[in-house]
Amino acid sequence: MSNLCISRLIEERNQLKKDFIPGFKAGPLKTKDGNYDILNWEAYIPGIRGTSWDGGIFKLNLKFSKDYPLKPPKCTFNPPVFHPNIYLSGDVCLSILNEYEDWKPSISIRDILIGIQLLLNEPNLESPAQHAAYALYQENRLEYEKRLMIQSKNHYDINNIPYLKRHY
Amino acid sequence: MDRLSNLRQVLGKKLLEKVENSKILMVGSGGIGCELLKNLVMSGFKNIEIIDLDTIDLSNLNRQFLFQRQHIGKSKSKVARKSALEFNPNVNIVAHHANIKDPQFNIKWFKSFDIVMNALDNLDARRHVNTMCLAANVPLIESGTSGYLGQATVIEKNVTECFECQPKPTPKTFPICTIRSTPSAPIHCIVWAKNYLFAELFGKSEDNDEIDEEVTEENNKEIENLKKESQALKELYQYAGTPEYSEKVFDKVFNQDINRLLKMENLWKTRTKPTPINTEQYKKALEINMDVDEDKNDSKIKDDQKIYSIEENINMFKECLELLVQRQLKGKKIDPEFSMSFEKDDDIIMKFVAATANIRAHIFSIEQLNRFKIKEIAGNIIASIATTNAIISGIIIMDAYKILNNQLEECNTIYLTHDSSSNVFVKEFLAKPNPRCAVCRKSYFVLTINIEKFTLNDLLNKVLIKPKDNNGLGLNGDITICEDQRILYDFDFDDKLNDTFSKVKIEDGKYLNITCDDDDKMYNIMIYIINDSSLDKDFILEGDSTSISYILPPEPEPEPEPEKTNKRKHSDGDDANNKKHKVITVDIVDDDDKVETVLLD
Ligand SMILES: [Zn+2]
Repeated sequence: MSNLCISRLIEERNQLKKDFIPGFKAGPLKTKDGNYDILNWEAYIPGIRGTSWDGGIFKLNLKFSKDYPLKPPKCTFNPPVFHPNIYLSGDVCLSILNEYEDWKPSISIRDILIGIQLLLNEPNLESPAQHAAYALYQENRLEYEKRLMIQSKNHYDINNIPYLKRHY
Repeated sequence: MDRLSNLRQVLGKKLLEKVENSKILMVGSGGIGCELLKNLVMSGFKNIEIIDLDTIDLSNLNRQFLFQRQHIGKSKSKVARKSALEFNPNVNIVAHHANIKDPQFNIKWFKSFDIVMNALDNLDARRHVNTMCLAANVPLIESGTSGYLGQATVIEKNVTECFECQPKPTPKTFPICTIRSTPSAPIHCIVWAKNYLFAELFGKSEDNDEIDEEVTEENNKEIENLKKESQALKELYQYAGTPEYSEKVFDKVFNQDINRLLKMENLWKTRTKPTPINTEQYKKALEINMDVDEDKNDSKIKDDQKIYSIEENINMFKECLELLVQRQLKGKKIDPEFSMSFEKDDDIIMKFVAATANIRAHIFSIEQLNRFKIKEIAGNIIASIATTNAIISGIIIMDAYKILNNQLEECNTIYLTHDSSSNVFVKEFLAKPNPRCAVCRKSYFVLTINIEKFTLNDLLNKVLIKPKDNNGLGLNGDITICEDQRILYDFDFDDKLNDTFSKVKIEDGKYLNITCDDDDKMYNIMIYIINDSSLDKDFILEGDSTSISYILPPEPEPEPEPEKTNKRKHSDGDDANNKKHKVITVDIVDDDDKVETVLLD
């Protein structure tokens, strides 16, 4: 076991509790055997108000390896999201999540969540990951925004997740 | 004249006596371990325990000289013991064929040794032994080699840096975007072939069951479509076993996927565009070269050193894919959950990975590699050299003498370098503990309880938050109790408080990681659990509660490495610092390691 990684994640968790981000939820996931796994988190990211993402709440899984915080967590939307920088598998392509680009061990989970929220509304066309979303964005912005609004409507209503209310 | 007379003259009677009476634990009996055990029995040590969970493999024999051909498949530690006793029958060696992390190797057991010597090949076990030695307060000699490079150092609690005071280089991983969309080096293609393509086709169908049903009910077509697309490769499985299968797989990954990438023009503004291979070209390649049965005319060695043409690789792809699919279909008949994982010594798997990596490299105009090289990279094989292991083992013995002679200050961190322009050895003073280290700056306690009776609530109220002057630890703040990566209790998760330790599976030998966040000050405590079913009181707590202090938060930014002032350089080369850095980046490996991620220097 790596003591460093676990101490840091506990610290992050305490920090998130103190320095709560309105509209977001994040915490370790309960595994099938009823334990909470500090390496496996679930977060809910709200779309930014006033954008086509408004109203949607997007579920993200954060998988930490024992080399965290030397290495970034793997962030995956589950279910996947229609977005130029998100792989069909839901994996997020973002420079702060890339060990060789902008990841630094000092980046907090809070920073990651806010960074991803921003990415939703401000795709980076230099590193597309999902062709359909990328193409529509390029070819027909209006249609693209429309799709987003439908998507936001169809993604989670946070009040319908009973587990969340109990444990976050 | 007895066999120790020379040694007595060199060490002196007093030190030799200490050496003879000392008890040594050697963890790992592989590359370094074989050399080290021979040294131990030849240099006065009489009480040695060794532990290794591995068995002997053919590939060990070139350097792990305590093993011979007839020992293949047998326990490394047991055979090492037997062979070492032939050098010197007058020593006691206890051999454990077991995992050092097993609960019977608890803190009491660690405390019974005077020195622990690591001869390990993986980070996880090293971290564990480091923690156990800190908790038991036993000096640890840590070592590692990689090719011509090696190092040895001494770790003593509160005196020196521990194994985790400085972050260790970790196996290299690549960002998902590089692997899936924009490979630029052969390794990117190898990682893709091994960790993506092979895993998707033959690996466990992981994670997908995690997708929540509740959401998809809401006629959400978008999500449905995305999921479907991401599953496209897996869905081809319905054709497995039919003649079209390999063609369909090929078309999906080497044609359709590449075309989709091409449509994202921004990716190719500054990069060379990939060139897909369509079905027609694929079929043509198969016609040109219907037979690549390489073992027929060439020797194997020559073949795996050869760079194949694209046509040959396509043939190889088809041939291996069909063989692997047959294996998969057969396996699934017996067990529907059947899956395969990458195995570098499996010829077919290796050929499949090499061929697909090279086809992808061809498509992206990246240099192709021969199978020998690909195996080295994909299998994470790092050269291990007997001479390096022997030199490092010699240094370990010298360190052990110094420790037993109470001359810890004479010990150094020694790097064995491989650069003819300067000293082969670079010596450094042992560094002081890092005040921010979350491992050695912790306080360690031993808690004896009856796990069938003691509950988490008891731990919290009778031990953790109880005042120090009342036999407690006096913690005050948000408390988190973890065991490895499991959270047993924190401010939100309190549903297990009334469970006994046995119910939450905290048994003898387990350790709990307790964090207390008191207004931004983080207190960190490790508690080792000893189970005593005949205990006549609630608990016995051993440890010094006055030693609990908070750990400094991590430094703001690890910007350009600050010059360390507490170190004296023995090497006169100006570039000693650079060299040291170079050595550190490889110090984690001893033998061929089975780490999943790809590691390169
Ligand atoms: Zn330390």
